Amino acid sequence: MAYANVVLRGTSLGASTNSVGYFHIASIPSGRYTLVVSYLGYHTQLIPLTIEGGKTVQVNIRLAPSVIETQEMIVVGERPERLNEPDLGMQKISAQDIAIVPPGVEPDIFRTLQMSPSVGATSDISARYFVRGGGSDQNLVLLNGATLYSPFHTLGIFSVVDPEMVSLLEFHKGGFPPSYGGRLSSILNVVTRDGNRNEFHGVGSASLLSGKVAVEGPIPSGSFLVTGRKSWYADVMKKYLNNRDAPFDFYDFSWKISSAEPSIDRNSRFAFHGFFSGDQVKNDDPFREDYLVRNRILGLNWHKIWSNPLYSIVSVSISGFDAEVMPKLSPTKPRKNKLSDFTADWDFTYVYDSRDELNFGLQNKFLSTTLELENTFGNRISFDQSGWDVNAYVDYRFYRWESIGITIGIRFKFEAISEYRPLLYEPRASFTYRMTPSISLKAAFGWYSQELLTLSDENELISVFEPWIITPTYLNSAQATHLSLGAKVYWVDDCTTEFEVYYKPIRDLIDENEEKFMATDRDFINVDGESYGVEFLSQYEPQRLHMKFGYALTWAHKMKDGVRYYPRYDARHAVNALMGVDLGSGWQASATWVLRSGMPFTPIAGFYDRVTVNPWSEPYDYVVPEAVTLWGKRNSSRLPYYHRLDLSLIKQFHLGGAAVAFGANVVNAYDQKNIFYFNRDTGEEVYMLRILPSVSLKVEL
Amino acid sequence: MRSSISLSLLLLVFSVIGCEEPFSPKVALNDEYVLQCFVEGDFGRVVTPVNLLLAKVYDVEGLNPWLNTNDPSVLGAEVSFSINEKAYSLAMAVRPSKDSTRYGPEERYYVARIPKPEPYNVLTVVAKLPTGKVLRAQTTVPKARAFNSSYPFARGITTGVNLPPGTRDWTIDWEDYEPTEGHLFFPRLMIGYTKSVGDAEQGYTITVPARYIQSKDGPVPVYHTYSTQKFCSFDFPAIDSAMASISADDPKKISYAVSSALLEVIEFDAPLSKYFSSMGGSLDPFSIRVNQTVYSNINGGTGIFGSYFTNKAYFDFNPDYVRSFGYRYR
Repeated sequence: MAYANVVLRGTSLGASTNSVGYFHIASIPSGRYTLVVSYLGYHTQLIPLTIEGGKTVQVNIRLAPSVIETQEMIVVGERPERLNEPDLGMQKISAQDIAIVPPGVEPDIFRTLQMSPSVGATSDISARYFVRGGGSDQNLVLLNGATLYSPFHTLGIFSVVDPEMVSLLEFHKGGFPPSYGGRLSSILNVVTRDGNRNEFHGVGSASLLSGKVAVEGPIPSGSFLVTGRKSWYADVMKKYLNNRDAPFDFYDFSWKISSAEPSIDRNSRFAFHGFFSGDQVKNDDPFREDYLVRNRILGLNWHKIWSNPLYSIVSVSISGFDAEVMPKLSPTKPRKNKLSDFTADWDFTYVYDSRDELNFGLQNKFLSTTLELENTFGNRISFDQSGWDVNAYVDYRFYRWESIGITIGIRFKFEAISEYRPLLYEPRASFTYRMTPSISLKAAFGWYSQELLTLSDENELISVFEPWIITPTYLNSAQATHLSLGAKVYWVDDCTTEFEVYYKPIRDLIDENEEKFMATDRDFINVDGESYGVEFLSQYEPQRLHMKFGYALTWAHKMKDGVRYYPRYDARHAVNALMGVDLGSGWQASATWVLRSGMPFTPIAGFYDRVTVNPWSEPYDYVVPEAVTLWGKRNSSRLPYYHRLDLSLIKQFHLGGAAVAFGANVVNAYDQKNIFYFNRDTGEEVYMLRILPSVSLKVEL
Repeated sequence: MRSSISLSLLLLVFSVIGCEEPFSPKVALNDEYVLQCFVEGDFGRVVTPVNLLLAKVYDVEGLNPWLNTNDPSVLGAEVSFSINEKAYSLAMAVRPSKDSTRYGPEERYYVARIPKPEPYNVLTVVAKLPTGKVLRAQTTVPKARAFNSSYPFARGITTGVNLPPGTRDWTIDWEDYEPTEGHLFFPRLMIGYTKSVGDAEQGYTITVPARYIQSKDGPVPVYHTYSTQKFCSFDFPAIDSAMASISADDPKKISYAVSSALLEVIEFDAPLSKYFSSMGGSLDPFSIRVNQTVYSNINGGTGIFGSYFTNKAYFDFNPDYVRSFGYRYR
């Protein structure tokens, strides 16, 4: 269990478990103690301990759930944290945090992320998120340590990660430690929960879009958890696509088997996990193309306590991504992308008596990508690359002082998958100073690089096919620097405010070559960019209430061909407000309100009559001119402000032996006409989601 | 109760916020000019008119440019056109408009009767506007091409040849291993035929598709389009179908006469190739692209100045093949 609270009663000593449930309390004087272990929604355990000098005591703890109702939606209690933790830019999101956000049609972890300041989206249609002015492919999503390459269903509308299986989300918006690499902007570490070790348990739920089940229970020496979700009503998708036909079909399926067999090794625990998802658009019409997108992950995590206090995790995984456009008889060109990833990581943590920690590890990855395309003029392009990505890191964390926390680390790249690797080493550092018991000052710095990218055209508001490739051999791989300063204020119990300023220059981003007019021209070019901003997050979480208010002021721009412009995901102002309240008697309500600057767009600078050559007519230069648009400077205007209110009301009750939750949700409750785009041909304003009521049902046995 | 009141107040606030704000996707119109001119290259210095359109960017109420009825043509410009170093002046002229609904029955343009430029000629256009602004562009005429046929067809085109396994088409290439900077080619094969109507013979042409694909509504012809490929091919069944469709349902096959097919391959120069490439693209129906960069080679403005060269070759039909359809061969 991640981030459970572990304290020695009557002392100031304590810790919180890490993302996979381990904890270590150093420098405990000899004596008799009571270890208090607590976690929201579970019975608190008191464990008597006797500590002898120079010896390490190992304790295995199993918590039992307290009440089932609390798992649906309830105020998240005080989350333990090391007050000198250098964690600037890091956010922990629990399953309850996900549940509290009005789900729209389907609960979604990425929409929960978008409630965080400086995490934006370009439309209601897409759960793709953009962090601090970075592109969407600059965000790494890890599922139990394995890379999830396409974490979206159906055009990016929903995430493939079923919130039902989530134990914890660790979200790093910047300044992330050396144990993470390969992306420029953010890390989302999704840790799935273990199954129930005490009893069998099943959950079935349904929304207008999909049905899902989760089954879990004990097995000898461990537990299992299986979740599955399947779409069943594609017509709901029409609402997202302005009533265009959308014969979508998707599924996701995950499982996790956790085992700790003391007779084999009392200091080891294994987690064998798998994840599969698939999306397809299957048109009956032979003149409309079909689409297929698939993810797969198979992984094994071996947690081992060597000789205390050395702890390691071996993570071996195979993950992959396939995408294909099958044109059938349509004019669409065939496209195919395949990515295979074999990862073997070995991460260690050593805890000193001084409470300092040394983290180090070796991270290996073999990647291969294949991309087959056919261009407009019938030329077939095959783009294959593969290689080893070998990294090692070391990260020393100073926790020895009560009021200061420092981490200093470096990530080395021994072998790179791209031709022109950007950096051989990436230093990282972060710092926290508790100025007073209620005010902490924080800072973070790091160099980051990225060699894998998606071929996405940021001018496409919706894109079905976004293939992954390794940086083309003729380009430099991208690199970024993160610099951030912040403060956290603990006003009173349950009320905090965080403030952060950041600057992120980026070199050698890979961008589409818009000047590619000939087949021989390069498809992609290197461009530079930078982003900077200020963000603010205030949370108030007294009993039965959860309030969160965030604001971000962001600038992001790119330089292309000597012209500086704002990418489409640049949102100058963004306000997020969230309120969840437990109304009693099983009633829970929540609301979110989002306001953000409109997306940049390229305005119309005028019109002209364009002459074209029609080889079917003679003479070729005398056809009726076509009246067309002359576009202005790229992304030099903005759409109007975007704002939206979502509401959710849930009633929980018992029916027989089942716990039932019935939910009613409204997306865009006041039916704001947020402009998605202008149809360039007709001038029609196309709006994002209009008011959309829906219901959901969840039954737990 | 307090929660309900708070919620109602919030909804009221949001309803007020929800009022629409005025929005326009346009920016103020600037002085921007458009020059458009396509020049055909040929051998023999055939004197021909070169037409050039010079216009101003305009604005309309709303977003439909077809509503514009104010002629945007720029009058009184000094336009010069040079082939290699030899310069010609283009004069303002008027011709009947093909679309009289917008700017009236006449269209203003600049024209000069000059010898058609030959392959490799360097063409330059300079337009000095009355405002003093100068638009300038340059290009080079594509070279001429020689064709190679995949079958020698000793007695002319016929689909009745012994085909190697796996082949069922006729391929013509114009590959010469010289770099062409990605020039676009537009090939088409036309069968010329005549039909006897009384004592007269009337001439027609029919274009041969590259192939047919099967759809639920029957076979659909597919024609060659712009491509950088230096070859084109025609399925034998497509040639058969085109031949058969000459007379279609007419039982008097003998009134038709067929002798040869004309292969035309238009080669566009670098600016025109880039221009058509930038206007091409085939998005899937779910992708929405909001920008598009259209290539322009006009310094000081926008538009296009380019040249093309049409390569032609006649291929005789095999007399027996023509007669197998009931047509006359001549």
